[in-house]
Amino acid sequence: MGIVVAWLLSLGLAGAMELRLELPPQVAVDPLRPEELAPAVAVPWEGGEAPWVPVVERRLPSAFRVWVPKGASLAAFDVEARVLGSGLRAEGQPSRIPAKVRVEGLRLVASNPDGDLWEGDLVLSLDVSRVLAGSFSGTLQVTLSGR
Amino acid sequence: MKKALFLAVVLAMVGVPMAFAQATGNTSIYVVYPRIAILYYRSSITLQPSASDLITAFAGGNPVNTGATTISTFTSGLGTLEGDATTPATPFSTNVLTTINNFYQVRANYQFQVTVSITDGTLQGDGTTGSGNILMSNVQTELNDSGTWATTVQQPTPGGLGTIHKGDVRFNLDFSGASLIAPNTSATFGDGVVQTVVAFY
Repeated sequence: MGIVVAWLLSLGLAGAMELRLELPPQVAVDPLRPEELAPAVAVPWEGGEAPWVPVVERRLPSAFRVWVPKGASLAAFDVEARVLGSGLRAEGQPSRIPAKVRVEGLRLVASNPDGDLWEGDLVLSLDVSRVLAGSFSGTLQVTLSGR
Repeated sequence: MKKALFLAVVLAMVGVPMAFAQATGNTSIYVVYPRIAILYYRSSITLQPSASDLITAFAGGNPVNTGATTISTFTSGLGTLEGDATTPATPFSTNVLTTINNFYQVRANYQFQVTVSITDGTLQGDGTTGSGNILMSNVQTELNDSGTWATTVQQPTPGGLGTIHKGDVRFNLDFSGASLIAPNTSATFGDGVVQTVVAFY
Protein backbone atom coordinates (compact mmCIF):
# COMPACT_ATOMS: atom_id res chain seq x y z
CA MET A 1 0.00 0.00 0.00
CA GLY A 2 2.80 2.40 0.93
CA ILE A 3 4.59 1.67 -2.31
CA VAL A 4 1.48 2.41 -4.36
CA VAL A 5 0.89 5.70 -2.56
CA ALA A 6 4.52 6.62 -3.06
CA TRP A 7 4.29 5.84 -6.76
CA LEU A 8 1.14 7.92 -7.18
CA LEU A 9 2.71 10.79 -5.28
CA SER A 10 5.85 10.49 -7.34
CA LEU A 11 3.82 10.90 -10.53
CA GLY A 12 2.43 14.12 -9.17
CA LEU A 13 5.81 15.39 -8.07
CA ALA A 14 7.44 14.34 -11.33
CA GLY A 15 4.74 16.23 -13.18
CA ALA A 16 5.55 19.32 -11.20
CA MET A 17 9.27 18.80 -11.77
CA GLU A 18 8.98 18.07 -15.46
CA LEU A 19 10.33 20.49 -18.02
CA ARG A 20 7.38 21.75 -20.03
CA LEU A 21 7.26 23.55 -23.36
CA GLU A 22 4.02 25.26 -24.33
CA LEU A 23 3.07 26.65 -27.73
CA PRO A 24 -0.31 27.68 -29.09
CA PRO A 25 -1.73 25.16 -31.56
CA GLN A 26 -1.84 27.80 -34.27
CA VAL A 27 -0.77 31.38 -34.96
CA ALA A 28 -2.07 33.78 -37.58
CA VAL A 29 0.56 36.27 -38.64
CA ASP A 30 -0.56 39.77 -39.57
CA PRO A 31 -0.92 40.12 -43.35
CA LEU A 32 2.16 41.43 -45.09
CA ARG A 33 1.93 45.08 -46.08
CA PRO A 34 3.37 46.83 -49.15
CA GLU A 35 5.20 49.36 -46.97
CA GLU A 36 7.26 46.52 -45.51
CA LEU A 37 8.61 45.82 -48.97
CA ALA A 38 9.06 49.33 -50.37
CA PRO A 39 8.74 52.90 -49.07
CA ALA A 40 5.50 53.26 -51.04
CA VAL A 41 3.61 51.61 -53.87
CA ALA A 42 4.96 54.34 -56.16
CA VAL A 43 8.62 55.08 -55.62
CA PRO A 44 10.62 57.87 -57.30
CA TRP A 45 13.60 56.25 -58.88
CA GLU A 46 16.59 57.49 -60.81
CA GLY A 47 17.21 54.66 -63.19
CA GLY A 48 19.22 51.48 -63.08
CA GLU A 49 17.81 48.43 -61.37
CA ALA A 50 15.04 49.08 -58.89
CA PRO A 51 15.93 48.44 -55.23
CA TRP A 52 15.83 44.84 -54.05
CA VAL A 53 12.82 43.70 -52.07
CA PRO A 54 13.81 42.96 -48.47
CA VAL A 55 13.06 39.84 -46.48
CA VAL A 56 10.06 40.50 -44.26
CA GLU A 57 10.29 39.80 -40.56
CA ARG A 58 7.43 39.13 -38.19
CA ARG A 59 7.90 38.97 -34.44
CA LEU A 60 5.55 36.63 -32.65
CA PRO A 61 5.64 37.98 -29.10
CA SER A 62 5.31 35.49 -26.26
CA ALA A 63 5.11 32.71 -28.81
CA PHE A 64 6.12 30.00 -26.36
CA ARG A 65 6.67 29.34 -22.67
CA VAL A 66 8.98 27.01 -20.83
CA TRP A 67 8.41 25.71 -17.34
CA VAL A 68 11.70 24.88 -15.67
CA PRO A 69 11.32 23.00 -12.38
CA LYS A 70 13.36 23.81 -9.36
CA GLY A 71 16.76 22.17 -9.50
CA ALA A 72 17.09 22.64 -13.23
CA SER A 73 18.35 25.65 -15.15
CA LEU A 74 17.33 26.90 -18.55
CA ALA A 75 20.99 27.65 -19.16
CA ALA A 76 21.53 23.91 -19.37
CA PHE A 77 19.36 23.73 -22.49
CA ASP A 78 19.54 24.86 -26.06
CA VAL A 79 16.35 26.50 -27.23
CA GLU A 80 16.00 26.29 -30.98
CA ALA A 81 13.27 26.96 -33.49
CA ARG A 82 12.84 25.97 -37.10
CA VAL A 83 10.28 25.97 -39.86
CA LEU A 84 9.40 22.45 -40.86
CA GLY A 85 9.68 21.85 -44.58
CA SER A 86 11.83 24.99 -44.96
CA GLY A 87 8.91 27.22 -45.68
CA LEU A 88 5.24 28.07 -45.86
CA ARG A 89 3.18 26.48 -48.59
CA ALA A 90 0.40 28.04 -50.58
CA GLU A 91 -3.00 26.48 -50.32
CA GLY A 92 -3.64 24.61 -53.54
CA GLN A 93 -0.43 25.79 -55.17
CA PRO A 94 3.07 24.39 -55.47
CA SER A 95 4.68 27.71 -54.53
CA ARG A 96 6.42 28.13 -51.20
CA ILE A 97 7.68 31.08 -49.15
CA PRO A 98 11.17 30.24 -47.91
CA ALA A 99 11.08 30.96 -44.21
CA LYS A 100 13.37 30.88 -41.20
CA VAL A 101 12.61 31.38 -37.56
CA ARG A 102 14.76 32.23 -34.58
CA VAL A 103 14.28 32.57 -30.85
CA GLU A 104 14.64 35.97 -29.25
CA GLY A 105 13.95 37.64 -25.94
CA LEU A 106 13.91 34.71 -23.58
CA ARG A 107 12.81 36.17 -20.26
CA LEU A 108 11.75 35.04 -16.83
CA VAL A 109 8.11 35.91 -16.29
CA ALA A 110 7.27 34.07 -13.08
CA SER A 111 8.99 32.19 -10.34
CA ASN A 112 7.77 30.15 -7.39
CA PRO A 113 9.25 27.50 -5.09
CA ASP A 114 8.45 24.80 -7.66
CA GLY A 115 10.32 26.40 -10.54
CA ASP A 116 10.57 29.20 -13.08
CA LEU A 117 8.37 30.15 -15.99
CA TRP A 118 10.17 31.54 -19.03
CA GLU A 119 8.74 33.13 -22.10
CA GLY A 120 10.24 33.73 -25.54
CA ASP A 121 9.46 35.41 -28.84
CA LEU A 122 9.83 33.90 -32.28
CA VAL A 123 11.01 36.00 -35.18
CA LEU A 124 9.90 34.76 -38.54
CA SER A 125 11.80 35.75 -41.70
CA LEU A 126 9.89 35.44 -44.96
CA ASP A 127 11.38 35.70 -48.42
CA VAL A 128 8.41 36.58 -50.61
CA SER A 129 10.39 37.48 -53.70
CA ARG A 130 9.36 34.43 -55.75
CA VAL A 131 5.75 33.83 -54.82
CA LEU A 132 2.43 35.22 -55.92
CA ALA A 133 -0.26 36.58 -53.65
CA GLY A 134 -2.19 34.04 -51.61
CA SER A 135 -2.59 32.29 -48.27
CA PHE A 136 0.31 30.31 -46.91
CA SER A 137 0.69 27.95 -43.99
CA GLY A 138 3.38 25.92 -42.31
CA THR A 139 4.61 24.54 -39.03
CA LEU A 140 7.00 26.08 -36.54
CA GLN A 141 8.83 23.80 -34.19
CA VAL A 142 10.55 24.77 -30.95
CA THR A 143 12.93 22.33 -29.33
CA LEU A 144 14.64 22.34 -25.94
CA SER A 145 17.51 19.95 -25.71
CA GLY A 146 20.01 19.36 -22.98
CA ARG A 147 23.53 20.56 -23.59
CA MET B 1 2.77 7.91 5.08
CA LYS B 2 6.11 9.60 5.68
CA LYS B 3 7.80 6.59 4.17
CA ALA B 4 5.52 6.83 1.14
CA LEU B 5 6.28 10.52 0.70
CA PHE B 6 10.00 9.81 0.92
CA LEU B 7 9.70 7.10 -1.68
CA ALA B 8 7.68 9.44 -3.91
CA VAL B 9 10.38 12.07 -3.82
CA VAL B 10 13.03 9.47 -4.60
CA LEU B 11 11.01 8.05 -7.49
CA ALA B 12 10.29 11.51 -8.84
CA MET B 13 13.94 12.48 -8.70
CA VAL B 14 14.92 9.26 -10.43
CA GLY B 15 12.45 10.04 -13.21
CA VAL B 16 13.42 13.69 -13.67
CA PRO B 17 16.64 13.30 -15.70
CA MET B 18 14.75 11.47 -18.43
CA ALA B 19 12.10 14.20 -18.55
CA PHE B 20 14.81 16.87 -18.94
CA ALA B 21 16.42 15.36 -22.02
CA GLN B 22 14.37 17.12 -24.67
CA ALA B 23 11.05 18.83 -25.25
CA THR B 24 9.54 19.69 -28.60
CA GLY B 25 6.45 21.66 -29.55
CA ASN B 26 4.84 22.49 -32.86
CA THR B 27 2.52 25.27 -33.88
CA SER B 28 0.75 25.88 -37.16
CA ILE B 29 1.25 29.27 -38.73
CA TYR B 30 -0.84 31.12 -41.29
CA VAL B 31 0.19 34.10 -43.39
CA VAL B 32 -1.89 36.11 -45.83
CA TYR B 33 0.15 37.65 -48.61
CA PRO B 34 -2.03 40.25 -50.34
CA ARG B 35 -1.72 41.56 -53.87
CA ILE B 36 1.11 44.04 -54.08
CA ALA B 37 2.49 46.07 -56.96
CA ILE B 38 5.33 48.56 -56.67
CA LEU B 39 5.93 51.14 -59.37
CA TYR B 40 9.35 52.73 -59.67
CA TYR B 41 9.02 55.89 -61.72
CA ARG B 42 11.21 58.71 -62.84
CA SER B 43 10.18 62.01 -61.35
CA SER B 44 12.08 64.02 -63.95
CA ILE B 45 13.75 63.40 -67.27
CA THR B 46 15.70 65.83 -69.41
CA LEU B 47 16.19 65.08 -73.07
CA GLN B 48 18.99 66.96 -74.75
CA PRO B 49 19.21 65.87 -78.35
CA SER B 50 21.87 67.63 -80.38
CA ALA B 51 21.08 69.65 -83.50
CA SER B 52 22.48 66.94 -85.71
CA ASP B 53 20.40 64.34 -83.90
CA LEU B 54 17.26 66.35 -84.52
CA ILE B 55 18.14 66.94 -88.14
CA THR B 56 18.57 63.23 -88.51
CA ALA B 57 15.25 62.66 -86.80
CA PHE B 58 13.39 65.22 -88.90
CA ALA B 59 14.70 64.21 -92.23
CA GLY B 60 17.30 61.57 -91.82
CA GLY B 61 16.97 59.87 -95.16
CA ASN B 62 14.29 59.74 -97.76
CA PRO B 63 12.60 57.35 -97.48
CA VAL B 64 13.13 57.18 -93.80
CA ASN B 65 14.68 54.02 -92.53
CA THR B 66 13.30 53.80 -89.06
CA GLY B 67 15.82 51.19 -88.06
CA ALA B 68 18.79 53.26 -89.12
CA THR B 69 17.73 56.72 -88.10
CA THR B 70 18.03 56.15 -84.43
CA ILE B 71 19.40 59.00 -82.47
CA SER B 72 22.27 57.35 -80.76
CA THR B 73 21.76 58.44 -77.21
CA PHE B 74 19.92 61.15 -75.43
CA THR B 75 21.92 62.78 -72.73
CA SER B 76 19.83 62.51 -69.63
CA GLY B 77 20.08 64.48 -66.47
CA LEU B 78 19.05 61.44 -64.46
CA GLY B 79 20.32 57.92 -64.53
CA THR B 80 21.50 56.30 -67.68
CA LEU B 81 18.65 56.63 -70.05
CA GLU B 82 18.89 55.14 -73.44
CA GLY B 83 16.79 56.99 -75.89
CA ASP B 84 16.06 56.93 -79.52
CA ALA B 85 14.03 59.11 -81.79
CA THR B 86 12.97 58.07 -85.20
CA THR B 87 10.86 59.84 -87.71
CA PRO B 88 7.59 58.29 -88.69
CA ALA B 89 7.26 56.98 -92.20
CA THR B 90 6.52 60.37 -93.71
CA PRO B 91 9.80 62.22 -94.27
CA PHE B 92 10.22 65.75 -92.96
CA SER B 93 7.41 65.33 -90.46
CA THR B 94 7.65 67.62 -87.52
CA ASN B 95 6.61 64.75 -85.25
CA VAL B 96 9.57 62.97 -83.85
CA LEU B 97 8.77 59.59 -82.37
CA THR B 98 10.75 59.55 -79.17
CA THR B 99 11.40 56.37 -77.25
CA ILE B 100 12.66 56.31 -73.68
CA ASN B 101 13.80 52.92 -72.55
CA ASN B 102 13.57 51.90 -68.92
CA PHE B 103 11.14 54.71 -68.22
CA TYR B 104 9.64 52.82 -65.26
CA GLN B 105 9.88 49.46 -63.52
CA VAL B 106 7.28 47.34 -61.78
CA ARG B 107 7.43 44.57 -59.20
CA ALA B 108 4.19 42.68 -58.58
CA ASN B 109 2.89 39.46 -57.10
CA TYR B 110 -0.33 39.42 -59.12
CA GLN B 111 -1.13 39.97 -62.78
CA PHE B 112 -1.10 43.67 -63.54
CA GLN B 113 -1.48 46.25 -66.28
CA VAL B 114 0.23 49.53 -66.95
CA THR B 115 -1.50 52.51 -68.52
CA VAL B 116 0.35 55.58 -69.70
CA SER B 117 -1.14 58.94 -70.55
CA ILE B 118 -0.02 62.48 -71.22
CA THR B 119 -1.51 64.68 -68.54
CA ASP B 120 0.37 67.77 -69.70
CA GLY B 121 1.54 67.54 -73.29
CA THR B 122 2.76 71.09 -73.78
CA LEU B 123 6.44 71.72 -73.28
CA GLN B 124 6.59 75.48 -72.92
CA GLY B 125 9.56 77.51 -73.96
CA ASP B 126 11.19 79.26 -71.04
CA GLY B 127 10.79 82.69 -72.71
CA THR B 128 14.49 83.39 -72.49
CA THR B 129 16.04 80.80 -74.72
CA GLY B 130 12.98 79.39 -76.44
CA SER B 131 9.51 80.52 -77.40
CA GLY B 132 6.37 78.66 -78.36
CA ASN B 133 6.09 75.06 -77.38
CA ILE B 134 6.78 71.46 -78.22
CA LEU B 135 3.71 69.24 -78.19
CA MET B 136 3.66 65.70 -76.93
CA SER B 137 1.13 63.20 -78.26
CA ASN B 138 0.33 59.55 -78.83
CA VAL B 139 2.08 58.07 -75.82
CA GLN B 140 2.44 54.30 -75.70
CA THR B 141 4.28 51.77 -73.59
CA GLU B 142 5.72 48.28 -73.83
CA LEU B 143 6.83 45.85 -71.13
CA ASN B 144 10.03 43.84 -71.13
CA ASP B 145 10.90 44.69 -74.74
CA SER B 146 7.87 42.72 -75.92
CA GLY B 147 7.46 44.83 -79.03
CA THR B 148 3.76 45.26 -78.26
CA TRP B 149 3.05 48.97 -77.88
CA ALA B 150 -0.23 50.34 -76.55
CA THR B 151 -1.55 52.85 -74.04
CA THR B 152 -2.35 49.88 -71.76
CA VAL B 153 -0.26 46.74 -71.64
CA GLN B 154 -0.79 43.71 -69.44
CA GLN B 155 1.51 41.28 -67.66
CA PRO B 156 -0.20 37.95 -66.90
CA THR B 157 2.90 36.32 -65.38
CA PRO B 158 4.29 38.75 -62.82
CA GLY B 159 6.62 36.20 -61.23
CA GLY B 160 6.63 37.72 -57.73
CA LEU B 161 8.24 40.82 -56.28
CA GLY B 162 11.70 39.50 -57.06
CA THR B 163 11.04 39.96 -60.76
CA ILE B 164 11.56 43.36 -62.33
CA HIS B 165 9.43 44.34 -65.28
CA LYS B 166 10.99 47.05 -67.38
CA GLY B 167 8.74 49.56 -69.07
CA ASP B 168 9.57 51.70 -72.09
CA VAL B 169 7.50 54.62 -73.34
CA ARG B 170 7.34 56.38 -76.64
CA PHE B 171 5.52 59.48 -77.80
CA ASN B 172 5.54 62.02 -80.59
CA LEU B 173 7.19 65.38 -80.17
CA ASP B 174 5.95 68.10 -82.50
CA PHE B 175 8.60 70.78 -82.81
CA SER B 176 6.77 72.89 -85.40
CA GLY B 177 5.62 75.50 -82.87
CA ALA B 178 8.97 75.91 -81.16
CA SER B 179 11.70 78.38 -81.94
CA LEU B 180 14.90 79.67 -80.43
CA ILE B 181 15.28 83.20 -79.17
CA ALA B 182 18.39 84.82 -80.60
CA PRO B 183 21.24 84.79 -79.87
CA ASN B 184 20.82 81.49 -78.03
CA THR B 185 22.04 78.38 -79.78
CA SER B 186 19.78 76.06 -77.82
CA ALA B 187 16.54 76.44 -75.92
CA THR B 188 14.78 74.86 -73.01
CA PHE B 189 11.19 73.64 -73.14
CA GLY B 190 9.66 71.96 -70.20
CA ASP B 191 7.05 70.72 -67.80
CA GLY B 192 5.30 68.07 -69.82
CA VAL B 193 3.91 65.22 -67.76
CA VAL B 194 3.55 61.54 -68.62
CA GLN B 195 1.53 59.63 -66.07
CA THR B 196 2.08 55.93 -65.43
CA VAL B 197 -0.59 53.93 -63.62
CA VAL B 198 -0.28 50.32 -62.46
CA ALA B 199 -3.39 48.31 -61.61
CA PHE B 200 -4.32 44.67 -61.11
CA TYR B 201 -6.66 43.02 -63.54
